[in-house]
Amino acid sequence: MQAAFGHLNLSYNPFGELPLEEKAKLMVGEFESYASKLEHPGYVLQIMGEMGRGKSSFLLGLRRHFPDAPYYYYPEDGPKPTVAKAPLLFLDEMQRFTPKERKRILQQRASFVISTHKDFKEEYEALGLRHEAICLQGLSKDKLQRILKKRLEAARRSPGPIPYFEDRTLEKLLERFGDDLRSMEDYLYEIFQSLKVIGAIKID
Amino acid sequence: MRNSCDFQFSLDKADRIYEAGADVTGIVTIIPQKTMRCSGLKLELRWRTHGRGNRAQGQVISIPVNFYEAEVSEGQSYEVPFGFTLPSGPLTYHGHNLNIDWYLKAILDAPLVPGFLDPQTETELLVLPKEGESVNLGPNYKAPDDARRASSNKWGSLIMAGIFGGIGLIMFLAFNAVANSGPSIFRLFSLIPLIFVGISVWVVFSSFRNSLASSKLGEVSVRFDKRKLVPGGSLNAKLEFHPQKQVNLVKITMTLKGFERVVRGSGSNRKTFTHTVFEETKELAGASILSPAQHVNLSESFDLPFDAPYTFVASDNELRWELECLIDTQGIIDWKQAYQIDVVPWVDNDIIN
Repeated sequence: MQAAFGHLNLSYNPFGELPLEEKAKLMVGEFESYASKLEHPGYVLQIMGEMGRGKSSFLLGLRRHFPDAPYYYYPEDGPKPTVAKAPLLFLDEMQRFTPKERKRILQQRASFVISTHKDFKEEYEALGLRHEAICLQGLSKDKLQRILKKRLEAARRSPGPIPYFEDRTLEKLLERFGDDLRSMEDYLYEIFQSLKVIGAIKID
Repeated sequence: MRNSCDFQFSLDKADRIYEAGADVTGIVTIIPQKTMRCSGLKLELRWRTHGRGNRAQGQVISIPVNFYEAEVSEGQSYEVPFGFTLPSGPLTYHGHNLNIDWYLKAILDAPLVPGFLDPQTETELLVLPKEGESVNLGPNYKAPDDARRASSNKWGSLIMAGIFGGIGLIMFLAFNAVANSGPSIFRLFSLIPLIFVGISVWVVFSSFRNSLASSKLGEVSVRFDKRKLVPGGSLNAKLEFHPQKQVNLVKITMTLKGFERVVRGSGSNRKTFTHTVFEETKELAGASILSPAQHVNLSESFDLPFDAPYTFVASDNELRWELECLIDTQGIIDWKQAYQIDVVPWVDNDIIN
């Protein structure tokens, strides 16, 4: 018996599921400009995007700049989190709170980073909150290269060569999956399960 | 970025392959890249899954070490010996959707670096079964018994059927009220609740299908010589029933299958991935007419492959084996039941739960 993915100089399949905190470490994004705005209360950063575009990962990536700020995720099948008072709150799946609950949360003197499928612009304005929205859509070849490279490096077992993506492969991935990173990960998981040697990753 | 501290593990076995329950000894070498204060070294052992599913992991097992330096200096190295006994499992497994590995982690407690994780690293150990020793089959494992079959949860099905039926009824009443007061096109909406009612009927039918089938087939009994098998072992199953009425039989089959099943995400993002590691179907009887009170008594035997992976059950990550029995009759009411089978390294020992 050999170590898993030892033949690729990796510790695990880089496109398998990771806990949220580890996903956050691998998030590629420009967080600094938002981080300074969130230091003052009364500001909402709303992150929107279709499923699989990385809303939760973006939110957790930004939260790495504020490790003491509480993070609340409201799962579809419950339970509803009890949101405490804090100067900065990270709220994942905000649309699952009722309008009354949202109002109660947003009324506190704080700043908020919110991931949601619905736009709550009117609610922020009614409460006098400054707000900004980021819509996660579109993916450039450069950004995709950085995302995939980070994934591979995180799974690295030891110094030395590991598999890598060439430009042509990235173009093919973008042609096939667009900005749907989750579907791309599912596909690449299978590729890595059958990958035998270190080198450029080939796809059909 | 340069690490503030490097670590090197040296274990008594270079290949790092150990038997469950074995004693492991080694040395962890700490090589600081800068001088820093520290309040000790923690060594932790734990198993965890990796692959397509959400991560499942065992409790951290702390390994005591003697390391009392208050400061570690750049350019020096510090050797810390350790020793521990490996638990009885889970065993290392490298599959398709599911992998199980053991990790030994070293963490240097360096309190003067606020906002950063303590310097740390981890290395894997491969844990294989030990002859004659019992094995932990995962935190959620439950031994098979005759009362608990692999796929019977009538109460759960009834609740689900009730929910769907209730939603369908409420929608029907609501849409009817709208349809009566609005344009005739609204009457089309009254069809939507039928989808929910249809699901409800299907769920009820599925959960009571065997009971309905038994009204014709009589009580169906499936017995095994054993439900715990070793890789390469044989499973012998016997299926018996006395038809109460004439039965137009299409076929009787038994299917032995082993599969990895993992779950990724939660809520609406929840997705289940299944990968079959072994599947063999045998036909015990073909198309025929069974007469009332005829005694049907059929036996079948399956040989497990020698590399059959062991049963493992943890949250969102499992490797299961099942024997599925099917009595396929003309019409829609077939009898189908899956029975849990366990694949373990040793049969004559108790399994740790």
